[in-house]
Parts: sequence; C-alpha cells; structure tokens
Amino acid sequence: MSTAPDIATQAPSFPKEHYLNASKGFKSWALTVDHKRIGLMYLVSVLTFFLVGGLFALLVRLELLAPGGMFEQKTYNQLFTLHGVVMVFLFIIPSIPAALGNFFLPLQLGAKDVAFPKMNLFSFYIYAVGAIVAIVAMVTGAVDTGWTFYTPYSLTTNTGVVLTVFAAFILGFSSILTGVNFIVTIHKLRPPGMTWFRLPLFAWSLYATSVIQLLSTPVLAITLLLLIAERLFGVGVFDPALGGDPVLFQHFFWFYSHPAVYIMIVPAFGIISELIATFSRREVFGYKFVALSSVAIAIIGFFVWGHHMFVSGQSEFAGMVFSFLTFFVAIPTAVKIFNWTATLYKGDIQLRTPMIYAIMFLIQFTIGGLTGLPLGALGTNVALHDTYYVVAHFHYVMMGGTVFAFIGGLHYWWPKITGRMYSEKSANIGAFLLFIGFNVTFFTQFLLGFKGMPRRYFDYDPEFSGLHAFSSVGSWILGVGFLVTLYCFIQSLRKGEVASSNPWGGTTLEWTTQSPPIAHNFIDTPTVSTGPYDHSEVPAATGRAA
Amino acid sequence: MAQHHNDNPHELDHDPLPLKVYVGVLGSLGFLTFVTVWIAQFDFGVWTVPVAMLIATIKAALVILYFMNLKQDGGFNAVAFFTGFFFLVVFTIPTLWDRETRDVVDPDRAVEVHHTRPGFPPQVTGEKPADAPEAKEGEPVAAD
Amino acid sequence: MSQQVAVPEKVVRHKVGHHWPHVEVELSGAKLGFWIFLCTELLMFGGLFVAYTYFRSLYPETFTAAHQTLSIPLGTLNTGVLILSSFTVVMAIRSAMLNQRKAMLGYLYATLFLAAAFMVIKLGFEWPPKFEKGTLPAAFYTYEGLAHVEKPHIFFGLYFVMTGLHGIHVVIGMGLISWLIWLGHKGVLYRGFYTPIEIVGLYWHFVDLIWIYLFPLFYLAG
Repeated sequence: MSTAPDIATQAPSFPKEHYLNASKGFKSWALTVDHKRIGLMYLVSVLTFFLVGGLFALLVRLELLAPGGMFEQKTYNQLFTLHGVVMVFLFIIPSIPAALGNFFLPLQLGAKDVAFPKMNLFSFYIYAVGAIVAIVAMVTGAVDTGWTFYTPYSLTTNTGVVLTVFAAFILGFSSILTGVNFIVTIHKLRPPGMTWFRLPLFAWSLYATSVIQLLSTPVLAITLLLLIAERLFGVGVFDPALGGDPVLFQHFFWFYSHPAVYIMIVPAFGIISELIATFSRREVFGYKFVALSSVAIAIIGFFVWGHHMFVSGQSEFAGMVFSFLTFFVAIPTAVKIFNWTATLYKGDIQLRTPMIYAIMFLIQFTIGGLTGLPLGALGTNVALHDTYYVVAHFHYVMMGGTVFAFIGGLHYWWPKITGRMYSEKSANIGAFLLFIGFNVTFFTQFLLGFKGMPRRYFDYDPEFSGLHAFSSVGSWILGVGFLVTLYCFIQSLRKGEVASSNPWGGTTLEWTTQSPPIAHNFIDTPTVSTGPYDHSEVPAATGRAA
Repeated sequence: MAQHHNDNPHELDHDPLPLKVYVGVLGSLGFLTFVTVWIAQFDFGVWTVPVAMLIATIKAALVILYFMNLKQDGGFNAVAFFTGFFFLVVFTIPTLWDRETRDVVDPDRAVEVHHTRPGFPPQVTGEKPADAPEAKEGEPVAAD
Repeated sequence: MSQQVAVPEKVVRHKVGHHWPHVEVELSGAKLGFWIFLCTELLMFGGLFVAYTYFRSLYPETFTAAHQTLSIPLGTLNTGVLILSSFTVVMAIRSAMLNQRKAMLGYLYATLFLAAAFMVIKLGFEWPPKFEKGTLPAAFYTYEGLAHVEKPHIFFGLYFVMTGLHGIHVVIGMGLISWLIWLGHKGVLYRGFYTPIEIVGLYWHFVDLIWIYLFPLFYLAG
C-alpha cells in the first residue's frame, strides 16, 4: 500500500473521536448501521455461544472421564446434540465472517461501509431471533438426535425437533444475507486502483465463503422445512413408514453441510494469509494461487457430500464416485499450506502472538486435513465411520484450524478494534495452554477411534478408559487456556497500552486509519497502486504503541 | 470503476424498453400457457414431462430476459443466476442417480421393504407386519 | 426522449447513501445483490423439485392418477393471473421512468390486486375441496378414491408443501408491493429513483417463474 503509517515518536494518546463514542445510548447501538458496531455485537454474541457450547463439551467429557454413566443415556444424547447445534449454527458458521469480516472487509477495501448497511443490521437481528428460538428449544425439550437430525429418529423422538430446526432455518437467513452483502461490497466498493488481484487475501476468502453460503444454505433451509412438514403433517419424503427415503434426507442435509465446513475454514485461511504476510514481512508466496484456491475449494466442495454417507445405504457406485472426487478438494487446500510455508522460508519472522497462532494452525490443520484422507477413502471409511477418529478429525480442522485462526485474528486486529494493546505475556500463556489442551484432548481421540471406540456413546468398555481419561483432562486444560485468553483481553480493555494505528507493520488498508477507526472509517477514500502485501515502505513495527 | 454517463450522482436517468416489447412478451406468455394446457391432453409417454418442461423453460426465458431485464443488464447478474442453476443440477444428478444405482453392486438392495410403524399414520393403507408390537403411548409423530 | 415528462413538484429528490460513489452503482449493486439472493431462492425451491422428481420416478402411476384430482381451469386461471401481474410490475417501473406517478401507482395497485386474486383462488376455491375430500398429507389423508395406487399421500404432501411455500412467497410479495405503494404515495419513486420497484419486481417475477414450473408438474403432467 502506498500510504505510510503513522510513526509516533512518543506514545500516542487515545483518539478523541472514534466509532465507539461517535454516538451514545442503547438506541445508537440497537439501530446502528455502522458495520463496525454490528461486527462487535456479532463478536460478543458468538463468543458467548462459544462459551455455552464449550460448557456442553465439558459436560460431555465429564461423562466420559470414567466408565459408567454419570448422566442418563438420553441426557447424554441431548448434551452432545446441543454441543453440536450451538457450536455449528450459533458459533462457528457466523464467527469469522459476521464478526471479523463485517468489521474489516470495508476497512480493507477503503470503503465507508458494506454495500447494504441496513440489511447488515437486519442480518444481525435475524441471528438474534434465531438464537432466542434456539434457546427456547433447548430449555423446552432439548433435541437428542445429534446435530445432523437424521431421519427416521428425528421424526419420532419426543423432543423439540421442530423448534430447534426452525431456529437453524432462521439462522440460515442471517448467513445468506451476510453473504449477499459481502459479494456486492467486493464487486462494487473497491477503491480506485484496487483490481481483483490487489484484494487482500482475507477479502478473497470472504468472497469464496459468501459464494458457498449462498449456494448451500438454501438447501439446508428446504431440508429443515421438509423435516418440520414431515413431523407435523406426514409428507412422506423422509419417513420409510410413509414410503419415503431416509437416505434422501442425508443427501439433502449433506449437500449443505459439507460445503458448510468450507464456510467454516475458508475465512480462517484468509486470516492465516494475513497473519503470515504481516509477521514474515513478505508478500504471501504465490498470491494468485492462494486467492484462486479459495474459489476452487468453494466449487469442488459441492461435489463431494456423499463421503458422509458411505455406509448409509447409498449406492456403492455413488460412493465410489464421491470418494474419487473427495481427493480433489485436498489439492487447493494443499496449495495454500505449501504457499504459506514458502512465505515463511527466509521471511523476516516476528514471533508475536498472532504468528504463534498461525504456526499452531499450520500444524493442527495439516494433521486435520491429512486425517481426512482415510475418511475420504471408501474402504478405510467403513472401519472409521462413526468412531472417535471422525470426531478427532473434524475437531482438528474446525477447532485446531478455525478456532485457533479466529483467536489469532482477534489478537491481530484487537488493537484496531479497541485501540489498546494486550499483554503479550498473558496472551502467549493462553496460547500455550490452548495448544497443549487441544492436542491432549483430541490427538488421543484418533487413537480411541482407531481402537474402535464409537462416537455418541455415553459409556464404554474398560479398555478405552485410559485414553478417555487423558482426553477429558485435556478438555480441562483447554478450559483454563480459554479463561486465560479471556482474562488477557479483559485486562487489555481495562489498562492496556494505547495502540498506534499500525502496531504490527501491516500493509493492508485497515492499518492506515486510526485505532479505533472513526465512524466513517477513512477521511478520504484511499487510492491503491500496489498489491496488498507490499512491505517496501512500511517500517519495522515494534508491537508497542510508539 | 465504471464510467457513469449520468452527471448527477444522485438521480437515475434511464428510458424504458419500447412498450411493444412488454406487450409482445405478455402475449407470448399467454399463448404458451394455452399451448401448455392444450398439449397436456396428449400422451407422449416418456416425453410428456420433458415437453412440458421445455415449454415452461421458454416461458421462463421470456420472463427472465425481458421482464427481469437480464438481456439488457447481462453481466455478472446472469453469471450469478446461472451459477445457482448449475449447482442445482450438481445436487440433482447424484441424488437421483444414487437411487437408480442402488442395486448395481448388490441386487438385493432394490427390494422394497414394506414396513409400517404400528398405529401410524391413522388412515394410510399399509400392511402392519404380523409380529408388530402394540403402539406405545407418547409416540405419535404429530405431537409437536 | 420523446416520452419524457418533467419532474413533478411533489417528488422527494433522491440522495444516495454515503458509501455509494454514484446512484448507478447503487442501482447495479442492488440488482446484483438481488440476483444473488434469487440464486438462493432457486436452490431452495430446486430442492423441492428434486424431491418431486425423486418420488415421481419412484411412484409414477400414483402421480398420474393423483394429479387428476386437481382443477386445471383454476390452475390455468392462476397462471394467467400471475403472468398478468408480472406485466403490471414491469409497467409500474416503466411509468416511474417516465415520471407518470398516477400510472405507476395504478399498476402497483393492479399487481397487488392480482396477487390477492391468486391467493383467493387458491385458498378459497382450490384448497377447501381438498380438505373436504381428504386428499391431504399423510397425517390427515382420508380419500378413498386413490386406493388403487400406492402412497398417494406423497403426491399431496409435496403438492401442499410446494404450492404452500409458493403461496407464502406470494403473501410476502403482497407485503413488499404494499410497501412500494406506500413509498409511491410518499413521493419517493420517480424517474430519478425507482430502485425499490426494480428489486421487488425481480422478486415478483421469480415468484411467477416458480409457478410457471409448478403448474405443469402438478396440474398437467400425466
């Protein structure tokens, strides 16, 4: 970027006017159309639901700490279902796009807002309504079907399927409208000089994510509507007793839910690109390939959903085709991993907290990705399906991948959002605990799965008890790690050092405006004449305010 | 960024298509509806549905190109819409094909299983298996 | 410009939002956004068409026999009503472009009326006989006349879900058209700004498109 960041010779003072104090009072937040305020409201919401989902997880792991049922079987089923439903629909799908994407996409584009600010607020309220319906569903008869709602059990179980599924339907609309907003923003609100191949990689990833959201979520919507209709009126499409086909339900469900996992990970890829570029002071190696690989993942991800259904009763022929296609989706992902690694090689590495998270991501996501291969291969899937191997695989990519990238991104952009720095020491302790806790909890589960421990079981044979106990202890270390990280952020808000506009030496446009930004983001629309990762004019940052 | 021929940045300045275009499309749609109903009395066997869909698609094309103005606007709007259609096809084909190929590897898979959950649904004719247990209480599906 | 009419005095002159560089970008951005949203509607209804195809291929005689209980005259009438309403929306946009405010409002009212007619024909004339006969989804199915085919309730289940979801979209459309009428009375819509009518128009045409496919599949294809 061509504009020089502000280099203070002394510690800057907190800006007098910014988006947080531009207007005051409850109504100024409830009726805001400022994408930054909306992003913050999403951030608080998703983090709250992460806490709720995490509590369910701790209860699940508590049940599995030792053989013998602590909870009743049905209660356990409800616990893991709620863990899944909350984490998938209320936390991870909105997380990076709605919280960080809303905040930073316009800033990275030098724009004053997203394309449709009022619709942005509307999306948030749809999310809020969906969340309330979900909470009501949870307390009035929590579902016990697993977050996948497979028929015919979801048609006969005497729990609140209709309400829970309706909540997910509502939340889907929030997702769709956010996707529409981002795509039009990127098409129409780029600044002069910012061609498509000068977009920051985070913007590219949000574009690809939005495409996936738009094409897949509607199929979930109709799946859920049909499920509700089947339960209430007995339509006959999914219920074998009425002539329907439960495998059809799975086709409908996974056509959304497989691309959904790319909705979860592609924004994380975008964050990692930003972190690696900034903290190795280099352009990301093979920028164009990394940018286009997000689009490739978005497209190929739609062709492989049947790999969740190999043992469902689907035709073996279809299974073979889906298995073959599944291997292709690994290719653009691998392109990213190789290119990031190449960026690090001979880069000027700054081992700040966000970079530590990026490196943890590389390790954990690679493990997660590689362990997807035995699951994608038809033969080995038969042995591993519905075991803890699957649980470990998806936690490695979703948590070791997305959640770690999310927290890394939060550390990276924290000074811009709040105008304050955090204590690097507490942040790193948190990161270390999370890394240890995560791997203790979940690597163990690969071994459990290999030994044959089935998933979604509330009890197990004594041969699994050592590994289960180890995994449960890991979950407690994870919990402590999250508390330490939360503490670190709270302390930053209370007495963190004032941040300069560009504490890390970043090169994308958000670092050219003050921390926190003014309500309209930029005083004048910037003009762009280089790619997004041109480090030639940006001096080495100290990470401090000065 | 696109060059705007309009000097006023706040107000649009467009002219509509000629009236006869819109009236012509309306007339064609009416005519094609008539054709659709008329042609339904003939049985084309396996081609009945494809013929009906073909006529429907011609009508749809007229609405999309002229009423929705896609012919004039073109550009990315068309790409967006047809991408949606493409992925609908991606969803449809394997789903339908799965059912068609269920007995390719194992012929027994094509056998239909007759099964009725005891006591439900009340009026649908389905054979209750001879050894089916009595309906348990609290299990009717329409209880939500 | 032979159809040009001067800007009426009671019009509220349009100003674009602060983030848009030009009103043309605002209009093309809105249209792009809505075409993308229509993709999602296409996929949502498309899923239902997939379910329809799946079960039609499974139980072809059932579909052939069951569709004969639907009224072709009423279905055709409703098709005509929707096509005409698409035309009136287009005419409303045209009138706005020509600063013909009365005509614009007239066409919007006509569209609203036609939409209401569609719902009256459907809910007042088509559905009650079905409730009486018992040609309903499985939980309420009581019709004896189709005992010679298997699983007739699947046809009616799909019929009610698909035409029902379509009907909900018509009602939502009526709400949107009412909003346009309100904007029109406020004086916000004229040659300089008619983007809301364009967007609601796109929605309304899509509702028409879905019916163009539903009609032959349920009423005619036997």
